[in-house]
Amino acid sequence: MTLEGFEKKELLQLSWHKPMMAQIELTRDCNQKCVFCFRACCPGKEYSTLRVNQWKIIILKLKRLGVRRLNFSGGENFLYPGFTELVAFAREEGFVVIINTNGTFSCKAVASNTGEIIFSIHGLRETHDKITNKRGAFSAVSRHISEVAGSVRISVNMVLIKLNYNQMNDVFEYFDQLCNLYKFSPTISIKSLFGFNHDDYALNMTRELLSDYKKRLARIPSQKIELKHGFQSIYFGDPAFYTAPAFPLPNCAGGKYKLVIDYNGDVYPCNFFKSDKFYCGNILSGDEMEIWKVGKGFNLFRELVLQEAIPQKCQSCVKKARCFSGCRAWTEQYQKGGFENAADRRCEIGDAFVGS
Amino acid sequence: MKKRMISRSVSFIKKNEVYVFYIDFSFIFLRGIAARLMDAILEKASLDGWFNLDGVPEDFILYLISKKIVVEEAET
Repeated sequence: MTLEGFEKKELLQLSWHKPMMAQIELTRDCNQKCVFCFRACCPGKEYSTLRVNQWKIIILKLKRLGVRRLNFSGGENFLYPGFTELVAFAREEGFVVIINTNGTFSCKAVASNTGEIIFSIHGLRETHDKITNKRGAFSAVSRHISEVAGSVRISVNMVLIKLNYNQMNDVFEYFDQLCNLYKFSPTISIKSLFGFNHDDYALNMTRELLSDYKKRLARIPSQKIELKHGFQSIYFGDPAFYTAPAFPLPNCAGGKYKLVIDYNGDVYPCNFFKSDKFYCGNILSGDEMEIWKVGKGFNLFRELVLQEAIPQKCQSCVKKARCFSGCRAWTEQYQKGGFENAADRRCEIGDAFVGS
Repeated sequence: MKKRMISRSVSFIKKNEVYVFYIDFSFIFLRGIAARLMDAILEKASLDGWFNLDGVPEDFILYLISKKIVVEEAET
């Protein structure tokens, strides 16, 4: 395939020549203990986090690399001393700043330097408190959202498990009424290799669940939904979505446009792939361009696309260019360390395949 | 006073007298006169991306700005 005389491989490599965004984990410390946390963050653990000046060096390196969006994830960012200073610094350097928080701290000090604040809310009232293992967490997040409503874009992340699944639409309606949500992201939990074991709470991925989940998503205004972990490929059935524009790019950010930076500066392609096999280097001590270009984790994700290391069935699917066999953390092989030639198990269950 | 420069976030290659730029999940192709104007701009670009726009039509620069290929930054 060529476009305007350029080969497919040339265009793909051009598209991931520079990353667009970086997700920074300032700390793994957290004042909540969410039962499903994919990073196993919780109170009381000591982490050797970097100093403010070291993070400033990293932020400048990311600027040189071409990154424009900085997402401060976590742990809980507000537990990191100097967080407010780093947000202001990133803004001054021209980044669009996005903050993830559990909402137990006031966000007023960072709102003016932030493009979007994403609150993690996993249910209404006592459901949220139970899931986060923190009494009063729901009233705190509601209060802190009200404080900044109207001054910054506010979004909500909700991780769906057995305890809160039925509240998905209620949570959307409650917070959309409170602050006119920018985005709402209700996401079925992944059993991360690096998080808490939550087998007892995780939803069983069945045909009935996916069908019901899609119906619940359809009740939310489409412009407010943010789908994650490649669920677009399961949710959208219209072939036109997958064939436009003339050269559609894969959904998955791994190795294409995003870096994930741990609390110690270690770089990985994805939150769910943080083993030695996917380690890309340390951005504080290493050369940022080299890490992006030859980091082994990034290249594993890129090679999957370049070599088309996807199952035979996916090769003939209309959705291939965008889906590329879906989210790697949703394959049967993820728990065993598998990566290539593995299908996203939601595809079969959700009847997402569209033959060409 | 603002200076104009090629965005740090843009990537491009040239092949057979056609440029392809990539930014924000989009490809932008320049050929013919546009490609020749781009040649002229890049010839004058300094290592840090600043460039002298003497002789380059303003309409073309505004087009590049609209496509985020060129950005304006305050002089420091």
